[in-house]
Amino acid sequence: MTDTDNSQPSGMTKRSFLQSVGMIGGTAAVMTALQGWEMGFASEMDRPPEMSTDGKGKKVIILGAGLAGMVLAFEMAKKGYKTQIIEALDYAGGRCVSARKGSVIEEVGSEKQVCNFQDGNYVNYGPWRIPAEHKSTIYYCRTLGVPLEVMVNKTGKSYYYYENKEGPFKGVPIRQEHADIDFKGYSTELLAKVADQGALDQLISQEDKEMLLTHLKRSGLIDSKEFNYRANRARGHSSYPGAGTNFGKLSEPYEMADVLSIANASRNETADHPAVMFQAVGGMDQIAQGLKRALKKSQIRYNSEITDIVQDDNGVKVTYKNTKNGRVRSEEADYLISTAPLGVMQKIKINLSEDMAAAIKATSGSPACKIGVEFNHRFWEQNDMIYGGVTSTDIPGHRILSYPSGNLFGSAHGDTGVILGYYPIGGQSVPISNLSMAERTEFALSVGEKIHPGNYRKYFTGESISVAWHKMKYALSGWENWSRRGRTRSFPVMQKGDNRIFISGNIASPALGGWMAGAIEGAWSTMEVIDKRVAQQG
Amino acid sequence: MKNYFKLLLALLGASTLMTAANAQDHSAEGAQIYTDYCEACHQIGGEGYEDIYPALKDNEFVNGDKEELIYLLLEGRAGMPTFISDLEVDQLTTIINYIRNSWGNTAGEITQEEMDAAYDEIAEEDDGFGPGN
Repeated sequence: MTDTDNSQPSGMTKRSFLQSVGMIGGTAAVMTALQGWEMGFASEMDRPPEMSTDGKGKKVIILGAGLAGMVLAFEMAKKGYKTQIIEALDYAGGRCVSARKGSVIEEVGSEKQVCNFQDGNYVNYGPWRIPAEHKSTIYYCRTLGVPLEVMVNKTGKSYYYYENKEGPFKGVPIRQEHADIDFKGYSTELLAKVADQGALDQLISQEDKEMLLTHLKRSGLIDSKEFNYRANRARGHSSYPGAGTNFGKLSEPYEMADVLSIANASRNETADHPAVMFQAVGGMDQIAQGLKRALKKSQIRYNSEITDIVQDDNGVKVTYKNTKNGRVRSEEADYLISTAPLGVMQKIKINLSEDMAAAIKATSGSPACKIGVEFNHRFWEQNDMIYGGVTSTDIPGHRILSYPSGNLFGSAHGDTGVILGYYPIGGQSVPISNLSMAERTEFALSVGEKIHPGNYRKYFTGESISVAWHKMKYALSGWENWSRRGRTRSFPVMQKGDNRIFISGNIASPALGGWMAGAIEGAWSTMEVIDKRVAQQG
Repeated sequence: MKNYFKLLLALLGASTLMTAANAQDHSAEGAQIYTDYCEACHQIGGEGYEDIYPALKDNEFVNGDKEELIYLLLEGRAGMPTFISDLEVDQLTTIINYIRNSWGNTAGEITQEEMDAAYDEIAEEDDGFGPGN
């Protein structure tokens, strides 16, 4: 891995870099990310791979009717393979799900929840945002006719809320736009001052220095003589301007030390989490449903839990049990592709090679919790001017609260909406999953009330639904992560397959873990591996 | 490789240092960490849950090779999460010893030095490949 701190975009002179100074943060971040990632840039593929064979009549059994399993079945059948998906659950989509009226979530050992949101309301308790650079996901939405809409990932009007840090902001929600622009303003001030005092003379030419100072002054954040950061129009008004002689009043910046006390991590806007993202209209599960519609009904066998897989040099035999009536059946094929999460796959008896058996233990599961909380008034829009976006907190087990980007202004189905009430990931989400459903709701309400005092509890409809992905029997995690050691040692073993058995899905895309694009492109990469194999060996 | 060596050295060193005097009783703190971070899956008393979450009680792996178990706790494995960024390294030592010495388990103590060596190695490897979420 290259040292990203000092790396300079290749082929880019300091001059051309400075000419694009308006984009300093973004460009630099993207380029260094590009150079730093060994595994190639995110989501390079924008369509399924060309395959060299017509499948030669080979039959492929696919475990799991999630996005990856359905992409495999759809694309490979198009080429001429016979495909059959075996799915343990009674629906297609896997983790690509949304909860709306009537949806059921049942965690291991917990009470069954039935969603009772008003018509039109939903929460994406699986994947919930698509960046523009995930061309593979967008490809299927476009070709399958799944409508997408803007998902507002970042709004300046939403809040940072910290209560575990001393200082003036402790326990006070502050607008992200204020904290962000103040950070930028003070950085601009300091940079302009040191440049002006000659401290950068060893680093850049006189000409470039002048250009830099010109850009910094033009930002409008600092005064042109002393270079001090002060109230400005980017930060906005404390009293809004209006008609006539009402010019409003510009808001005063926070003190620099106070601004610096806000964790940098909360400004988490990256190339794959930009301000403007996308979501499927009416719920992200519509992407899975689009794929399902593209398949023949018979291509998915539901309620079928695999118990045994036996392979030899000629093929593979799968034994599965119907979870409803207990009937056991077997099916044979030339190849098997598992898209089951590896934690789930451990439970199946399979005659894998020693190397492969070790490789499929290499990932760790990431626990993740979400809750959808329903309201009968969009107070965040009407009172706080928040339209979509995310409020970040430092409360363990909470992390964020996200306002709905659908039904903005209540114009689609009335003055109602579902807030994603918390979304902890990794170890911090485990204590949340220990709570009962009622306690989880109370936790979400108690945090929400701190950010929106007087409103959050008042407009709560009484309906909520939550998930702990590590407690869902056929997921056992939100997604899986590869350690660097695992990527180096185990991933290549897994990727090439073990005789007749291949492993695909999100796991096959270590650089896109947890993304729908990871599932889709993982499926595409497995298709290519099998196609080569069939071309060579039949 | 170099780090593996460090770990091996630490393991060897530890076995000579291990005396009853420096084996600490972590049970109260261990029990709390267990409740917060482990019980959701492995259940009260380390009993496990059907064939979904393995029992930790009388578990050969838990009572077996120290190094394997340390890596499992730090890196996760086969669906099991990593807690490397959620628990402090001394808490990780506490919980590993709690699990190895509760509910009838009587495996030997893992020292802080052993945990530190593995922790440093793995933390070094972290290249910030965050999940999409």
